[in-house]
Amino acid sequence: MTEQDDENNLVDEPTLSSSETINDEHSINKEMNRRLFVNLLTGSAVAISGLLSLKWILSSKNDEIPSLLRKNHDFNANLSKAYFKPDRLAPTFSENLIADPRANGDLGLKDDFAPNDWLLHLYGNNTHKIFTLNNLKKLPIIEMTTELKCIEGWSQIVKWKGVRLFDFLLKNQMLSNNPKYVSMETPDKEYYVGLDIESAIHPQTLLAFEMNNKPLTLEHGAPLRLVTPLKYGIKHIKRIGSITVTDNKPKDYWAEQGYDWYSGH
Amino acid sequence: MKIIKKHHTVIRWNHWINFPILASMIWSGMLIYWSNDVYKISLGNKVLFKFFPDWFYTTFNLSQRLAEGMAWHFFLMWLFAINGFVYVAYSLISGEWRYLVPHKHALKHAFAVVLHDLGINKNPLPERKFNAAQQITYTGIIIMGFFSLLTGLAIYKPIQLSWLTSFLGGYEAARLEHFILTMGYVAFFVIHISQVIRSGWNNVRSMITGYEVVNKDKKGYEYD
Repeated sequence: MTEQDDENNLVDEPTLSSSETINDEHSINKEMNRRLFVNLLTGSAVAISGLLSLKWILSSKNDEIPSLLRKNHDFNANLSKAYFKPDRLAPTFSENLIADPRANGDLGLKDDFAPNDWLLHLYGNNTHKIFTLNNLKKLPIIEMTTELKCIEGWSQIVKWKGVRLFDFLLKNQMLSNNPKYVSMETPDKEYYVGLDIESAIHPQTLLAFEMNNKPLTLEHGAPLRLVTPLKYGIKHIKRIGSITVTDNKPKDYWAEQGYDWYSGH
Repeated sequence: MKIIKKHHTVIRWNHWINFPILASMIWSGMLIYWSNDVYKISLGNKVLFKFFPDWFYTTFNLSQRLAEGMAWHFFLMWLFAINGFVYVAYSLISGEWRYLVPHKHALKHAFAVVLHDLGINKNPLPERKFNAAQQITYTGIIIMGFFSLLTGLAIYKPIQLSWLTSFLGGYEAARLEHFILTMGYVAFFVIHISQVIRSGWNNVRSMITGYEVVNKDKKGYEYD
C-alpha cells in the first residue's frame, strides 16, 4: 500500500488535478495487477506476522492461560484499581426482587462439618486471634440488597446480613500497617481467595451470616461467608475458616484455574 | 479507462485488521456466553430458536472454555478499541467521514437502492463512493462498534462504571444488548459479503489496492 508512486500519471487523485490519463487498457491492467500484488504481499506478510505472534503468545502459560493474557489481566486490574474509588457503591435494590441464588460450587465444603464448633482464625501483624460467630456479631450489623454476579454470566439480587470486613479488621488492629491484601481459606484449605485491600475494606464487603432473611445454609456457606458486590461470585468464599492480612499477593483458587486474579467490578 | 484513488490507506488497514479482531472477539465472546446461554427467540411458550443449539458448541469447540474466553476477550478488546479509534479519528481529520455519514435524503435514497438491488427498480443508481444504503449501514456499524464497547465496559466494570450500566438498563440488560450487537455483526457480515460479491471485482480490488478503474471522463469521488 505504497503512496509514493502516485506521482506517475496513471493515477487521478481525488483532488481532481488535471493529470494525464492513459487509455491503454493493457497498461491499466498491468498497473492494477502490480498494485494488487504489492498489497497482497504486504497483507500476507502482516497475516504471517500475526500468526507467528499468536504462536508466540500460546507458547508460554501462566496458571492455565497464555502468559501475555495473564499480564493483560493484571494490566487491566491495575487500570481498574487506579480508577477505583471507595465511595463508588454497588446499586442496591428493593427487597421484593430477592431470590435464592444457585449454590454453585462445593469446594471446601465437602468434609463433615459442625457449624457449632466453628471458629474463625485471624492472622496478621504477627498475631493470631480466634473468634466465634457471637464475637463477630458484636460489630455493627449491616443489611444490604445487592446483585450477586456470577462469573458464568448470570446474576441474582440477594439480601445479605453481616458485618463489614473493614470493621472487623479495624477493630483487631489489622489495618495499622497499610496491608496490601487479604487472604481467606476454608477450614480444610481446599478453597481460597485473595482480595486487594481496597476491595476488602469497601463498605459493601461483608462477612455475612444471613441470606434472604434466613441464616446461611451449609451449601451457601454457613456459618460465615464473604459477600462483596465488587467481585464476581467466585470471590464470595463460603465457610471461611481463616482470614490473613498480608503484603504478599495471596493465592486464589480460580486464578490458578485460568481466571483473572482481580475479578473486580 | 483510467485509475482513480478510492479508499485511503489508513482506512483500508483499519478495515482489514478489524476483520480478524472482530472475528476473534466474537469467538472469545462465544466461549464466555456458553456458560450462561440463556437467550432464545420464543413465540408464546414455543421456543423458535435457542442461542445456541448444542451442535453449534460442539462443531466450533466452544464448551468449557470460560477462563480462556475471558482472557482473550479482555485482551482483544484493546485491539478492537484502538483500531476503531484510529479509524474514527482518521475519518474525522481527513474529511473521509463526509462520504460515510448519511446525507439529508439518505433514507429515501436507501429505499431506492434496496428496490434496485432486489431487482424491482431497473433504473441505474447514481454513481457515488457509497450509496445511501451503504452510508446508513456503514455509519450504523461504527455506532454499533461504539455501543459494543460501552455495553462491554458496563458488564466488565458494573460498579466503577455503574452510571453507564444503569444508563444501559442495568447489568443484565447490558449483557443482552452486548449479545444483540454481536448478532448484528454476524447479520451485517452475511449481507456485506453477498453485496461485495455482487459489486464485482473492480470494487473488491479497490478495497485491497485503494484504486479503482473507471471511465476516462469520470472525476474523483466528491462528497455529497
